Amino acid sequence: MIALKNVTKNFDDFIALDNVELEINKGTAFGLLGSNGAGKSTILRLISGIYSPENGSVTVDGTAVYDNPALLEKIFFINDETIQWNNFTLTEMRDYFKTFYDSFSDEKFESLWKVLELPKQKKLSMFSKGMKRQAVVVCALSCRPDYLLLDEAFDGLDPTMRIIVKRMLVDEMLDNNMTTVISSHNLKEIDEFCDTAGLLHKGKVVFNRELDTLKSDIQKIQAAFEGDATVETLTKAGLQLLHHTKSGSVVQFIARGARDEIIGKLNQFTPKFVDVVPLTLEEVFIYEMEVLGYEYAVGIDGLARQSNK
Amino acid sequence: MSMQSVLTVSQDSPINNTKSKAMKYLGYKIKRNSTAIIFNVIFSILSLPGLALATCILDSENSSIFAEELGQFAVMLSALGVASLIGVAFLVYLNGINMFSYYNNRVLVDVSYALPITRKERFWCDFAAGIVPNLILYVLSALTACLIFFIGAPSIMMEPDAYWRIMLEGILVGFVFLLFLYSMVVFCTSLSARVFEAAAYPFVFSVLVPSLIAIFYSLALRHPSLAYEQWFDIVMTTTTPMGFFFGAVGPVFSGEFFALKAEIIIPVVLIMGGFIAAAAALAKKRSVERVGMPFAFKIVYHVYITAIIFCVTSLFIIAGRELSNDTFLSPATFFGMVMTTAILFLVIEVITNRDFKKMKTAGIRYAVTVVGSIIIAYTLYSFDSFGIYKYLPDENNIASVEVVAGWGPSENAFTVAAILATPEEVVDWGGAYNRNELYGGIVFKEPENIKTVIRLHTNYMNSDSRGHAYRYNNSTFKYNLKDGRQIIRRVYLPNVDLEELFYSKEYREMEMLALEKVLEDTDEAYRAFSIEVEIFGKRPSYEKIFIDKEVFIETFKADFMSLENYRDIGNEIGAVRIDTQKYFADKFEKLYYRPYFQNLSYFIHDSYENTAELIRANS
Repeated sequence: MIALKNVTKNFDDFIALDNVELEINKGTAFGLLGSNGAGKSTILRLISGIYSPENGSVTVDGTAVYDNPALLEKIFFINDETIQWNNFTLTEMRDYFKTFYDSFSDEKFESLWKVLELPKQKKLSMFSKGMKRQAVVVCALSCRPDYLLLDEAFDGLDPTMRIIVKRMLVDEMLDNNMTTVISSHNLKEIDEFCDTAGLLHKGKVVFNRELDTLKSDIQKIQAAFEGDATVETLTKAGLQLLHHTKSGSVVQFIARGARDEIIGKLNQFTPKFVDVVPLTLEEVFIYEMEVLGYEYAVGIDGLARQSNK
Repeated sequence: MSMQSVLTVSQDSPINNTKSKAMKYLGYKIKRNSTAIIFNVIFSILSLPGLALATCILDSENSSIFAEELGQFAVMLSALGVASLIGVAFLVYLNGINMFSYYNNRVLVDVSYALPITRKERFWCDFAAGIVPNLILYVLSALTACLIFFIGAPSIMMEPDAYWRIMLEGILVGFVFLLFLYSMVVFCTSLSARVFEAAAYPFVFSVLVPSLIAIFYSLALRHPSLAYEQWFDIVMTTTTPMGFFFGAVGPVFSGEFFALKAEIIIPVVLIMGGFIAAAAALAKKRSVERVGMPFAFKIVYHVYITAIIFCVTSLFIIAGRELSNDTFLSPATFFGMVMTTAILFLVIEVITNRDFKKMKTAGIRYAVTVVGSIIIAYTLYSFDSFGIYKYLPDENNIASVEVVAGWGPSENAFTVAAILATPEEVVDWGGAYNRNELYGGIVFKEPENIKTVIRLHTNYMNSDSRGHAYRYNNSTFKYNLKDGRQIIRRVYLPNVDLEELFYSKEYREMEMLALEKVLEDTDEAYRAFSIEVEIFGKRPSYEKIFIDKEVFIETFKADFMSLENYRDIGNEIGAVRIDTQKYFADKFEKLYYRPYFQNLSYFIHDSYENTAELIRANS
C-alpha cells in the first residue's frame, strides 16, 4: 500500500503539497486528478523516491521510500518526457533496465515487443512520440514492478495503441497484482481505466474515493416543477447543490447525495418529471472544481451559467 | 550451516544486492561515456608519449636511433602533444559536468533518481566513472613516455637518479592535477542547477579564489603589489587546480624538481579531499526540484556575487589609495566603484536569470553588498588589519633583512657582480628580463642595520601620510627569520632615509666587494674600462679621463670605507662612471636581449678628499 501522511512539499515559496493524506491500496488502478500545478506529478515523484517531503512521510508497504533502493526496485515511474531516451535503442533500454531491476523478464519483454513491433536497433530519437511511449511502457512492464506510476502516460498514443497499452497494463495488474497510479488530464481515460481516483487542488486532496462510490454520490438531475424550485428553495430543502441551471421550465442541477434521497427531497416541489442522468468522471471533476472556484468550469458551461444569472 | 543455505543467504542479502547494483551502475556509466574515453585514448597516445618521442627525435644529436631530418616531424609532434595534454585536461573538465548531468538537466532527474541505488552510491559511482578511466589512461600514457625515453634518449638517462625522480614527480603531479581539477569541477557542478552554471563555475572559482586571497593580502598590507611571501605562493599554488598547474605542474615540465614539496602536496590533497567530501555531502543535500532553476543552493549565488562585488570594490579602494595619496575612498574612486559594480551586478543578475520583478530587492542587496565590502575594507584599514599590517618580527629573531629599493648609490655594482657570477642565467633567460631579477636586494646582517630597517619601517607605518616628496621610493623589506620564515613588506620611503642604510659600513663593504669582484673576475673587464667623470656645477660637466684603475679603486676604497658616519658624507660633487659596455657587448654578443646597463656609477662626495684630488690631478 502507498501511504502519504501529512506530506508537505514546497518549491521555494510555492506550496506544491499541503499536509496531504493519501492512501492507495495494493492492486488498484488509481487515478490522480487535478488542475495544472495541483501537485499530481509531485506526488508521483515522492512515491518514486525522487523527491523527499519537507514534512510527513511517504511509505510503500510500510517502509519509507526515499533513498531506499530495495523498495525502489519494486516501483517504476514513467514521467511525461521521453527525450531522455533519445540516445538509446530499444535493446539498449532493455539492457539498461535489466541492469537495475532484478525482476526484469526477457520473456515479458519479447512478448510485449511482439505485440507492438517496435524497431529494436533504431535510436529512439527516430521514433514518434507515441512509439517512444510504447517503448518505455514495454520496458516498465518487463521490469515487473509492484507499483507502476505513470505521468500523462497515454499522451501521444493513437486510439488503437491506447487500447493495446491499457490492455497490457490490465494484464499485468491481473497477473501480478500490480498497483498502477496514473496522473492524467484525460478524465475519460481515468474513468475507463481506474477503479479509484483522488482529486488534488492547490496541493490539497479534495477527495480520494472509489469511482463507483464517487459517481453514486453525485447526481445530475433534469426536472420540471410545478412549485418554485430556485437555488435558494432547493438548498433550503436540504439539497447540496454543486451546479444549477434553468432553461425555460426545465431545471438542471448537480447535487451531492444518494439518488433516492435526492428524489425524496424533490417530491415536495411536485415535479412534473425527474430524470437522473448518469455523470461522467469529467463532469464530476468539473463540478467539484467549480465548487473550489476553479475557473476551468467557466470554459465548459460558464456561458450558460452566466446567462442564467 | 550447509553450503546451500550459505548461498541462499548470500543471494538474498540486500546489502550484496545493492553493492552489485552500484557496480553495475558504475559499469553502465563508464560504458555510456565511451565516446569521451575513446577521445581520451587518442589524446593519451598523442600527449606524453608524443612529447617523449619528439624529445627523443630532437635529442638525436646524442642518439643513434633517430635521424636529424625528422626534426620537423618532432616539432609537429610536440605541438600535437601539448594540444593533446590540454585535451586530456578538457575531457576531465567535461566529465565532471557530464557524469552529474542530472544535476542540471530536468529531464534526466526522474531517470537517475528513480533507479534502485542510494544517493551515496550514485555519487561515488558517478565520481569514479568520470575520473578513473582518465587516470588509468594518464598513468599508462606516462609509463609509455618513460619507456620511450628509456629506449630513445640515452643522453637523458645520463643521470639515472634524476631521470627517475623527475619521471615519478611528473606522473604523480599530473595525476594529482587531473584529480584536483576533476574534484573542483564536480564540486562546482554540485553547486549548480543549470549546465551554464556547471560550465562557468570552475572558471569563476579559479579566478575568484586567488583574487580574494590577493585582495585580502593587499588590503591587509596596504599595497597592491603581489610581492609574494612564501605562504602566499603556496596558497596560490594549492587552492585551485590552475594555481597548482602553474605552481607545480609547470616546473615539472621545465625539468625542475621541486614540485613534490610537502608544503604543496599536503594542502593540495587536503583541499582536494575537501572538494570531494563537500561534493559528496551536497549530493545528499541537493534538492532535486531545483534542477533547471538558477542555482542549486541560493546561498551560493549570494556568496558568488558578494565575492565578485567585494573584489571589484576592493580593487577600486586599493588602486584609489595608490593614486590619491592614501585617501581611503576619494569621491572619484567612489563614483567609479559604484558605476562599475552596479553594471557588473546587473549583468550577473541577468545572466543568472533572476526575477526582474524583484529589482527592488536586488537593489537593496546590491547596496548591502557594496556597503559591506567598503566596511570590510575600511575595518581592515582602520584597525591595521587586526595587527597584520603593523606586525614586525622581533629583531632578535631576524637573521637578515634584504632591502630592495628602486634607488641606491650604486646598485649597478651588484647587478654586474651578480651577472658575472652567474652569466648562464642571463644567457638562459635573456638579459633585459633577468636584469630586474638580478637587481635583487642588498642583504643586511649587522644587528645595527637590522635595527635601522625596523626603525624606518615603524616610522613609515606610524606616519599618517606617505608624502610625495621628490626622491621617494617604493622599497621592499624582506625579513629573513632565524626559523627560516620570510616576511615581506613594502614601504614608501624618502631616499634620505635609505641613505642611512646605503652608507652603512656593511653596505659599503658589500659594494666594494662587488666592485672588486667585477674587476678581479676577468681581464677583459679591465681592458674595457674607461672612466668618465661628471663634475657637478662645472661646464662642460662631463669629462673623460684616464686613471690607472687599481690606483683609482684603492683611493676610492680608502675614502669610501673611512667614513664613520653617513651624515658626514658631504655634498655630491660629481660622479664616476666606469664604462662596461664593450665588456658586456663581447660577453653577451650571442644574446638577443643584451644587458641594458653599461656603467658602474659612484657618486663622489666632498668628503672623499683623496678621490677628488686624484680626479683633479688627472683631468
